Amino acid sequence: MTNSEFSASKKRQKTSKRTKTASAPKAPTLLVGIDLGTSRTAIASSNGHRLGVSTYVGKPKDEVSEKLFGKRLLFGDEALYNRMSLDLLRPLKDGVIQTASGTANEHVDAVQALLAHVVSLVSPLDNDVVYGVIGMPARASISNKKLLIDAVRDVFDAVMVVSEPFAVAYGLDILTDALIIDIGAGTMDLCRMHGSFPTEDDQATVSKAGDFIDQTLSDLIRQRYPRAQFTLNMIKAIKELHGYVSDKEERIEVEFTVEGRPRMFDITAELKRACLGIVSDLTKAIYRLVGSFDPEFQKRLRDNVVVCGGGSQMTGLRMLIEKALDELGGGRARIVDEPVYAGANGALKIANDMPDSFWEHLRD
Amino acid sequence: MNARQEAAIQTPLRDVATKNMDPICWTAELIGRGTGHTVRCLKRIGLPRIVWRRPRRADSLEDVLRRAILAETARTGIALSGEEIRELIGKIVELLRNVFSGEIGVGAIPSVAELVRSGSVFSDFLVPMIRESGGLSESKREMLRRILEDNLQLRQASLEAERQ
Repeated sequence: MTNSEFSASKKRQKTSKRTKTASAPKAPTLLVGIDLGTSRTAIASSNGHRLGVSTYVGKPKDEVSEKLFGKRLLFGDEALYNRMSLDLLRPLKDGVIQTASGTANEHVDAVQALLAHVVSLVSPLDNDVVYGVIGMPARASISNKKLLIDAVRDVFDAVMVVSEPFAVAYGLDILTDALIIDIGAGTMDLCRMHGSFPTEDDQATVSKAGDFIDQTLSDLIRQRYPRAQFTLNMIKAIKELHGYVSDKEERIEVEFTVEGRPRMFDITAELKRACLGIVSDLTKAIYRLVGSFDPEFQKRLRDNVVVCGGGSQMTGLRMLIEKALDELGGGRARIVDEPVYAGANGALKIANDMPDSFWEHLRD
Repeated sequence: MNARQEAAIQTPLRDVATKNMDPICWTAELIGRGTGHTVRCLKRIGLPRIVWRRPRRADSLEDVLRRAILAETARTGIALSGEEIRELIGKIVELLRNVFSGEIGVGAIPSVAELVRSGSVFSDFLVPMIRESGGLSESKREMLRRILEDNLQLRQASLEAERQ
């Protein structure tokens, strides 16, 4: 994917925004909350839209495919589905924009194009002033945050980044005595809430998450069934459907091909081993955050563990976390009602609560 | 619906699994009809067959329905709050009961997609949020101020880098 492609769209967005703000200073405001995930980006907007897009950007490989699609860039599942005819880019890794050695970074431009696309999907009006709050990994570095803000400044009239688990807590209105765990594809983010703004010490980011499970599962299956034909995307779909960490007895069989011929493969043990691969790091992070909390309040924290994100859907995870909490004296965990949208909902709620005067500070 | 069926609908599938029973057979027994009829019921409701066929062991019927609704909301982008989802599950369970008791036929059951669409009131999700924003507590206002501060610093650094 060339940078000129993205740069062109960047310039167009800038021009349109200048016109927009100059001609309509008192334009209505559209608020958006975004959970920019390594695997999936979710958006919730104040005009009532909510949707998710796979975090992929694809550019037609040649003129033939460009004519076929009738557009210069494809996003999300459409890009994934047509990946054979595209240069496909997954711009995020470990929850943050991938950085290349050069100054021009196609991943930065891809994130900009993707976010412009998801914002367009929530149907902003021409004269809307768009304010956005974007969730990032809890311990994302200053440079990662800056990189994201630089990338998306032209998409929004004003934009803020917040820690993803904090956004979840804010959205659920659990601002005190709670441990939020957001299990995504790139990272697992933890944040303890104690009624005030969480500091660095209150948060943890573990870079073993869904992607790690996919890779481990792929390696394990490859090891056991060297002739089976599959891709990482297929493995991801299998994990999302069957992922588990409990002691279940039923077998999990999936269909792969061997030299083009479909065969069934038993992957029960491999899947469990792969899913359990992230548990030890998760447990350590929980122990650290609970163990370093005020001892008088540790029990309250243990009794209010809230799990969200795609990874929270693994069967048996809640019970496994509670089992891990036993070592600290026991506790209770729960999975949120809307694991995929919890971050975007919370980011939208922050955007909505943010006084207008605060937004004004961030406008160009 | 008899007491046995009432109890069965609340049974976690884990317990069904310990009896080594296929969930479809369990439901068929619950309905008191054949497996073909049961599959037609479930298909009509729109439960993804794979989800039903491979339930998680700790799942109750409500868990299975919740997953189907979440899948539908994710697919359509229609937003439902947790409470709306709970209401919807109640509605579907009620429908199932009516089918099970023979009060209504399979053809009268709306699909999960139809229920999700008819049950979607996104404003209900936003209204409490907007109502609440009128009276922000001091601690929330302080949190928002901290977010602004962090972002102003980032913006400043970004502008400086641009200037250089």
